[in-house]
Amino acid sequence: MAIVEVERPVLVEHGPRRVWSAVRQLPAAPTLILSVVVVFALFAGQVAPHPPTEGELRMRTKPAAWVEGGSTAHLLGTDDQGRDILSRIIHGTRVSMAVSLLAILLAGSIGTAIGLLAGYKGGLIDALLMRLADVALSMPLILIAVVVAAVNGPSFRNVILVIGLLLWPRFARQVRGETLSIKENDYVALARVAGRSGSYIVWRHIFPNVVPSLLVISTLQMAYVILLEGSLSFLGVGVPPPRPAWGLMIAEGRHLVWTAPWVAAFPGIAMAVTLLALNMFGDWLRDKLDPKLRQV
Amino acid sequence: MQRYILGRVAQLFVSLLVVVTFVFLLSRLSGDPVQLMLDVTATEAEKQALRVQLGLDQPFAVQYAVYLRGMATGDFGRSVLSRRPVLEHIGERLPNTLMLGAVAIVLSVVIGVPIGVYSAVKRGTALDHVARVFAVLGQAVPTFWLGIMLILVFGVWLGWLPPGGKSGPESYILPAITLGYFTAAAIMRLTRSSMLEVLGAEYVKFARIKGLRERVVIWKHALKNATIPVLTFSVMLFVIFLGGAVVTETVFAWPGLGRLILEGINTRDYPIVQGGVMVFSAIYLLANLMVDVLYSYFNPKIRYARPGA
Amino acid sequence: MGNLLRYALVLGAVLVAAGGPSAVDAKDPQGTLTIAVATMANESFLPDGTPGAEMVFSNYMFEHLVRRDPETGQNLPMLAESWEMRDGATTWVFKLRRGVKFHGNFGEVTCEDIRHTFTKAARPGTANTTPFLKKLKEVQCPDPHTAVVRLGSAHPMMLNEVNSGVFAQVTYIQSKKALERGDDAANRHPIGTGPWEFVSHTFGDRVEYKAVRNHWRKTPEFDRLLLLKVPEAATRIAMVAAGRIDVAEVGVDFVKELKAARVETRAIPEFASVGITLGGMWPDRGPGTSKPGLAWGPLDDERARKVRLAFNLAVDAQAIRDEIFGGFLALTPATMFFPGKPWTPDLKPYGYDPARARELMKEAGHPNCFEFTMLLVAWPGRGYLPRVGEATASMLEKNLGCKITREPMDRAIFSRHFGARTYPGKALAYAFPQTGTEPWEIWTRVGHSKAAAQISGFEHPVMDEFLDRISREPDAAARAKLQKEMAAWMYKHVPRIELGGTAALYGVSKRVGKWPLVPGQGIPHYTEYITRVD
Repeated sequence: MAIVEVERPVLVEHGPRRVWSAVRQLPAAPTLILSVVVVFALFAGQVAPHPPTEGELRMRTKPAAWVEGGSTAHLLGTDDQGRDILSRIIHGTRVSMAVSLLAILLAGSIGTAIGLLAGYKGGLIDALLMRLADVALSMPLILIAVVVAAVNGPSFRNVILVIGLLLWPRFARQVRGETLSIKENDYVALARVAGRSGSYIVWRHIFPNVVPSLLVISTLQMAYVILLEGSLSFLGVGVPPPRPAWGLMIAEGRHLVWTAPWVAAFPGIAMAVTLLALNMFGDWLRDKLDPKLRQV
Repeated sequence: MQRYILGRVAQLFVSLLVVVTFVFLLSRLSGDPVQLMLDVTATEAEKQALRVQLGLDQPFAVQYAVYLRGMATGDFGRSVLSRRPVLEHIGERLPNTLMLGAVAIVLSVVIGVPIGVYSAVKRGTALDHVARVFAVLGQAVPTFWLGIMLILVFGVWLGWLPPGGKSGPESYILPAITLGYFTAAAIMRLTRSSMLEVLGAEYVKFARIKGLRERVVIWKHALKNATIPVLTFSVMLFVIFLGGAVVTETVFAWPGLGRLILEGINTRDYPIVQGGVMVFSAIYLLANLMVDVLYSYFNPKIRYARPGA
Repeated sequence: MGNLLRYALVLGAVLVAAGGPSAVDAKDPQGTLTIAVATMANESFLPDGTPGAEMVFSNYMFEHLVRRDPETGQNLPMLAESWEMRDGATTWVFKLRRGVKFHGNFGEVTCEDIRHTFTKAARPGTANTTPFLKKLKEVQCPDPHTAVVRLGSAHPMMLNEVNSGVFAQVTYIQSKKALERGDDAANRHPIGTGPWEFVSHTFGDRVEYKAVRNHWRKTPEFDRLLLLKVPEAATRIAMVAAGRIDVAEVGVDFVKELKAARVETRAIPEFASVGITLGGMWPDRGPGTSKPGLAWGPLDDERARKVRLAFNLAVDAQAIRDEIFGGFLALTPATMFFPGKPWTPDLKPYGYDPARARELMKEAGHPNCFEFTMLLVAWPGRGYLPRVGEATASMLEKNLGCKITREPMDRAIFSRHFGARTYPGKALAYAFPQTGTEPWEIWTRVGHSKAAAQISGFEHPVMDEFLDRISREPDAAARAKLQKEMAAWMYKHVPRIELGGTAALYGVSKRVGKWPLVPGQGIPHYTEYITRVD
């Protein structure tokens, strides 16, 4: 009987045609939106019409350009300190993307490593690691973040560390679960019989099969992390001012809902649109990859 | 089975100990409560006198030992601020959070599950798309923003509902929606994807071949199996929930446990922070335990595959 | 004819007595007055449990020996009918009002209650930092209605610390019998003499009081007073706009929002003095307390003076007044010297002149300014401070080219620095609350070299000398003159970007009329005088 590796992603073409057919299959709207977000994040300085932290106090809370009192100099109006909202939203993508990517990277790396280890080794190591995951999961993330901010002061680095260090169990659990089931496959047993080392098996056979669902989780968790950063900013323990972050902008605008609701509304819409795109993309990814891979 | 449960309970205590130790260290590093309890112009002598009174002048290790010993006898210490037992404060506030959470979860399930089921069954249709947009929006709108908007519209402009605080039953509505919207969306999506998987599975095809009515296929066979991941996910949601409670309770001035802990952090009231976080964690771990027990009860294959059993 | 007239008069009198309004209680207390505040601080009712911020939570049920007239600021009798200063202000004799009853069955106020309250408030480990308590030797009771307070040294401003008029003097008179029940019992069911009586307290959430009928001073027009803790300003505004609460503590930075929500306001002027403190001008007291090469110091250095003046000229105080404070900022020449007071000299505010500021910086040797940190800390009742700090930093960056790092900091963490003087070279937006009638009282507590906490950002022997001389001067006019001189010196030397005096602001519902408000008193007070609009 031939040893066939059946668990692989769907794409079978090679080279540039493979890339093009992959691109053609992407969902139009979410991909477009995410591309814009990425462009904003990378080229914020060039794209934004004004510097994000410079404000003229006398120009505060001017409305959007299409409303009476607004001007084309500030398409989406100005905030509490007279800063251009559109520019801050554009620069804000940088912070949101950076925080979420780095936090997910941290959580994902730790989580995957632990999940693979626990799933493959089993036994005492598995038990210990999963208990550790339980403990980390059981701690209320927002409150821990507030305590950390109380100790060290709010900072970009602290936000990423706290989120990353408390989010890894979600990755770990998923990876462990999948490792457990993949481990039972014939080709793994055969590889072991053939004398392959544990780490070879993990990296060559198990990890690649875990990657697709990792991508799905990562995409969805990114959205969650961006929301989380927003909540932390609202409570005053997120990325510190004057750096523009969407959550911070909404937090700063919350007391202006009567006189200048756009200050909180526009960043809120930007946030929602980005998260919408991320979630739809994640959904599509899961629909594409999951039914063929997930084992009950 | 019994050994399994006992083992898990023991592990729960160990987990709690780790959590408490972590929070103990972290909160004591965060600053001196006496600093905040006194006027800014208080002298060092005055501050020290108060510290001695509160037992805060002892070294960390001593404070830790005292605290652990107290916990063993059910004494969680006294709030630095009010001098009242921590358990009394928690006892006053926890029910408010749980009540709000319960209302929000019920709302989420009642809205999320049916929409998820129909969305999966009618996959690809307009209904599915609308439902999915609704769900995705639910996970894209920040809780605090939604809360303030709801207060503005229903509390101020229309004046139908109270803009904050806990009073009669109508005061639960806005905070529960704010808290539950996110989980309703998550439950809907999870239900949908679980159902999709299950609907494609072998035994469902078999049930269809057997000639069972589609309605029976969906509700009796498919949903039962789809609920297992939903159950597991709900536990994780519960923790997101408790965390989300902090923000919702702040926006709506709801007298719950989340706000108590947050204020404890702001005033460096260590015993409150320790006790409160421990209660949060304990609730989560207990819920986790219950779900695991149920899970292994319904699915023996997994039970025996568990490590250490 | 005479008889008829007589009968008519008697009949008329009877009718008036039976059906007309009584002179003493015009309206029967009805309804609930709901007040929402941001914080209730320590939430302790004990005399030794509160440093002052608790007044927001408990002043309704207690009374002081003396109270302040809202119009004139003069001391008026409250629980004390008269008083006398003796022995060079080391002894104060208070004659107590007779027949004032404590709530419940705790009897009449006597000297014993004064003695017990003050002694408890002064014990070691107390949280109460009212200054005269530190000097308290004993309280003697020659008879039940005379209290003789003996202090270790002269204290001419004693009256300001036993009156109900200003923040952070917590000397309510409590019942000895009630306090002797033990701290726990006394805190759970406090007893006072005020027009409101304690009903219940849910820690961290609310306190409920009920009106005392036939109170010796004033029976409230509402039957209940409910105090709610609502941390979010936006929520408080929503609640008062919806009419679900009657008085919302809001803050002057919400003037425009209140107007847009169509909520009426009550402002209490002279609540705080706002500005940016430039830290670091004190002698080296150990690691972290001094910064060599401080550009805005030392105090007497000519170049440093130019830098300080340049900073003041580069900040548009009027824009800050209009945009952040909604107009509620009275530009002052020196901190705590509000306009129109007998001790405020006639000095013009610095004004806004960026060109001249840039010239001065060049003359001082800093053509492109320099790098420093701006701390952003929010204080209770003064949540606008981080915004003021941000706006100022922005202006300095734009006009002078400074490089400013913003450092948001929790008040708990920053309080440590105030005490230890470990913030040299850092700027901080801070609003001094009015904690005494005359500016020198506040400055003694925060600007003297012997002060426990260095909030002013500097120390100087000239300042010490002024404060010491003024504190020994019994004549008010002489004190005013000395303070004018002090203010003139401060105008040139104090390391601060002076912005001005601001008010405390409350949003009120349509059910609430007017009531007397004491200038400088930030917390809701005199609530028993709030009129009900039916």
